[in-house]
Amino acid sequence: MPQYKGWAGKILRVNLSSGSISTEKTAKYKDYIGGMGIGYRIMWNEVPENTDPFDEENKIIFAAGPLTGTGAPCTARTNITSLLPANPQNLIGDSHMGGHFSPEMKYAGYDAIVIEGKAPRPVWLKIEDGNVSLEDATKLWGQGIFDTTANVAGMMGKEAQVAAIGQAGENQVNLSTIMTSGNHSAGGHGGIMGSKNLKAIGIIGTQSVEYASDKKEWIELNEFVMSIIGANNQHVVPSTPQPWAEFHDSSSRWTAQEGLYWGAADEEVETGICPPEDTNKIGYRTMKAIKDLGAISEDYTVRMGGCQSCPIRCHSSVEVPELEKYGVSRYVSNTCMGFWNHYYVNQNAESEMDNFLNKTLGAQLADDYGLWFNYGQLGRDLKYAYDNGILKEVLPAEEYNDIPWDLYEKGDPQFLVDLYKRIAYQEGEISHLGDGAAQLAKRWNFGEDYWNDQTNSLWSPLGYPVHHANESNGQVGSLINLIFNRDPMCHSHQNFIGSGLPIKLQKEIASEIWGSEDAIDVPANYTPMNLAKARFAKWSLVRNVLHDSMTVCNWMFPLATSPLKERNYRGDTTLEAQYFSKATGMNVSEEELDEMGRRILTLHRAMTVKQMGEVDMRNEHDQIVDWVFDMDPDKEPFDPGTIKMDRDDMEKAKTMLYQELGWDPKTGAPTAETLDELGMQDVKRELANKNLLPYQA
Amino acid sequence: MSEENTDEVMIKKISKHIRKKSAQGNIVEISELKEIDLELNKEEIEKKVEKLKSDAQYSDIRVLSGEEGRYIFSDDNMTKKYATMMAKVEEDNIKELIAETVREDSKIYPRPTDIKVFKKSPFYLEEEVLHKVIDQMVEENNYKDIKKVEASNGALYLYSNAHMEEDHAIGLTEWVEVIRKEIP
Repeated sequence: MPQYKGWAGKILRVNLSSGSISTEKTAKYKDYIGGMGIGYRIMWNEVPENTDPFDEENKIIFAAGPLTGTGAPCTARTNITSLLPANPQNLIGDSHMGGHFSPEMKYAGYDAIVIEGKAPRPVWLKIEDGNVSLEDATKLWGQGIFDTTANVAGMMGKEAQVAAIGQAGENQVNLSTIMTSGNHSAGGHGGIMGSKNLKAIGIIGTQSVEYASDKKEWIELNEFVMSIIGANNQHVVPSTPQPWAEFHDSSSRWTAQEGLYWGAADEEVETGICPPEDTNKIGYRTMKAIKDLGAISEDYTVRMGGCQSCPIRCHSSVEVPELEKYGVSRYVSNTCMGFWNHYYVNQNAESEMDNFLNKTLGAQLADDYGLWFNYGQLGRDLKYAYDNGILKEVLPAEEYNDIPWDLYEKGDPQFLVDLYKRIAYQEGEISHLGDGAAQLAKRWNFGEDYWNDQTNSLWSPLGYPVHHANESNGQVGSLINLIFNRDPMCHSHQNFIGSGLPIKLQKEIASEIWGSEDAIDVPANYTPMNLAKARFAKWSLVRNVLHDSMTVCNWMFPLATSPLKERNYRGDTTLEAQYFSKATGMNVSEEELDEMGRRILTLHRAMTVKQMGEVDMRNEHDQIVDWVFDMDPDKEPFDPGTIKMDRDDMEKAKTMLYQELGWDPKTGAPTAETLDELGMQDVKRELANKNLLPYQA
Repeated sequence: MSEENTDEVMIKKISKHIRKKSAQGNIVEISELKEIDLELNKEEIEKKVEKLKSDAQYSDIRVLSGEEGRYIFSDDNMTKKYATMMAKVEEDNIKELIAETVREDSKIYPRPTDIKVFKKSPFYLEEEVLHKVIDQMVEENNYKDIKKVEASNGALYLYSNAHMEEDHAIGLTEWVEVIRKEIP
C-alpha cells in the first residue's frame, strides 16, 4: 500500500513446524484495518472450522493497527486472535493487552505476527527489525513470566518489548494469559502459545511509523484530544466536589483530590485538584489504587503507570513489603480485574489488610504463572463448588485433604500460593478450575442452580460472566454481552453510562448520537426496548471492534462526552475517523469508518456461524441464563429499583440489533445481502456452500 | 495620585485577592476584605464591591448571599455551585449542606448520596458528627424528605423522596455501592 501511511506495510509469518520465516504485504487486509480485523480475516481464510485450539493447524495472530505506534493518545493496544480454549465449542475470540508491545512491533516494521504450526522443542521468537530468528527456549521453559521477560530482555537488551507465557500457558491451561511489560495481560490464549512450544516473543524496533497528515494538523488533533479527555473510562467529573466542576460523582475514576496521595512515592505526591485545562496533570486524575485496592492502598502507592502514548495511567504500582513473606516481590502493578480476580477467589477475607494482600499477592502470582480468571468467574466457581460440597465429591480424598481449606475459610492469602500453583501446573482434579466455566460445570456436574444463581454472575451458557450487561443500561449492555464468544471487553457503552453527568445531559447527548433520548434510561429504572437503544448497542459494538482493529483503547474511546462546560460536556465521536484519515491518508467519514467496523464484526459473526455449523444464532448462541429474568421476584421488569430483564423484550431487542447490523432478524446470522454490501463475497460463497446462510434451510 | 486612581488600585488589589483565593478553592467573606487594607471600613468595602460588579473587566467576580454573610468568588476558577457549597461550609450550616446535596443528587443524576462524600473535601465532617447530624435531620420537619437507605454491605446512603421513589432508591443504592463495584 505505497500510497497509505500508518501501516508498516508487512505482516510477519513464522511457521514453527518448518522454521520458515517470511513476510507478506498488509495491503490485502486494509479493508479490515488491522488488529482484530487482520486476525479474524486470517483465521477465516486459513484455519478450518473443525480445528481445536491446541491443534498444530490453529494459528495465533498478534496484530497492531495503523494508529499503533503513532503516539496518538491511547493507541498502544495489541490484539491477539485465535481459537478460545475456554469456550466449550472452541469458538474464535480475541484478547488484548496494553503496554508497549504492538508499538514496538510497528517500529520493527510489522503490522502483525502470524504464528503457525508447532515447534519441535521450546523456542522463543526474536525480532530485531528485519532480523527474525527462532531461538532455543529450553532454559526459559518452566520459568514464570517475570523471569522469562527479564531473561529475554537480558539477551536482547533492556529496550526489548517481550510477550511471554508462564507455566499456565506451557501446561495449556485453558484459562491462561500472554503478558507483556510485567502486568499487561491478554486473557485466554496463553495455552495456544504453549501448545506451539512458543515461550516468548521479544521485539526491538528502530524504525518509525509514518502518518499521512501535515505535522501541524496531527499535533493539533492530539492537543484537542488532550483537551477533552477525562479520566479512566472517560469519566468526566471528579469524584468529590471541586472548585472547577459543576458536577461530581463518588463512583467516578477521576479520583484526584486534595489530601489524596501517591503515599509511597520517594516524596509524597498529592493528586490534588486537576482541572481539565491542566493537561500536564492528566496522569494524576485517576488514582486507581483506591478504587481497586481500597483506601488502605494510598500509603502503598508508588505511582500510576500504563501504556505507551496514554496520558491516563490507570495501572497502580504499589510497594507492599508484606508480600515478601509469601515468597514474592514487594513490587506489583496492575489494574481492575488484575486485582479483583483474587478477591473473588478468597472472598472470606474479612480485614481490609487481608483483602489488600489477597489482591496484590494474587496479582503477583497470577501474573507470573500467566493465569487468567475469566473475569472473576474462576473464584466464583471455586466458591460454588466448595459451598455445595462438590469438591468433596469430585476430588480424591487424598487431594482434598492436602488442600489448606482452613486458609480458604479464613480468606488467608497463603491459600492463593497453594491454589494457583496447582492450577498453573495442572496438578490434581482441583486444577480443572482452569478449564473454563462451561467445561468445569460439565465435568463436575454442576446443577441448574449454578447457572441460575445471580451471585454466580454467569451470563451465557457458553460459560462467560456478566461484563457490563443488564446493569449497564439494561437492553444495551445485555445485547453487547451476547455477541462475542467470551465476555465482550466492550466499554463503549459503559464509559458513556458512567460519565458522571446528570441524566438530562446524558439524554441530550444520546439524542444527538443515537437519535433519541430514549437510548439511555435512568439506572435501575428501565423502559422497554426501542430503536435508539438498538442503535446505541450497535454503535458500542462497532466502535469496540474498530478500536481493537486500529488499535485504540476502548477503556477510553469513544470520547462521547468531555469535562468541558464550554462544550456543554460534549466530546467528539468523529475522532476515530479523523485519526484514521490523518494517519493513513485514506479519508473516511465517521459513517464510513463505522461501516468498516461493521464489516469486521460481521466477519466475527460469520466465523462463529461457520464454527458452530449453525445459522440460528439467536437460539444457539445469543442466550442469557435465567437469573437475569428471574431476579428480584417481588418486582416486574421495568419496575423502579430492579435491573431484571423481560424475556419477550429481550427477544425484541435481539431482533432490532440484528436489523441494525444487517443480519437476519430471525436468526441473527449474516445475510447474503449484507455480506455483498460489505464486500465479503468470498465469505458469502463459503457460507452458502456449507448451507449456512439464512433462508437456505 | 488622584482619588480615582487610588480607588482603581484598591479595586485591582481586591480582585486579585479574590481570584487568588478562588483558585485555591476558597471563597471570601466580604468583611475579610478589610485584611487587604486596614483603613477600609464596611461602607468603603461595599462601595468597592459595587464598583467591581459593574465593571466589565471584573465580570468574573460574583457575590453570593449566604444565611449569615455575603461571599465573593471568581467564576474563572470556581463554579457557583461550589461557591454556594463553600458558603454553607463557612457558616457551618451542615444540615442544609447535606440536604441540598442529597436533593440535587436524587433529582438531577439521579442517584442516592454516599454519606462518605461528606467526610472528604470540602466538607471534612467527622464520622461521629456526620451520623449525629443525619440522625437529627431525618426526624426534623424541614428535612422530612431526606431518607436513609443501606446497601447489602451496610454502606449508608441518603436520598430525597421528593425526587426518588423508595424502591428506586433501594435498587439504585445496591447498584452504585455493590453491583457496579463488583463488575469493575
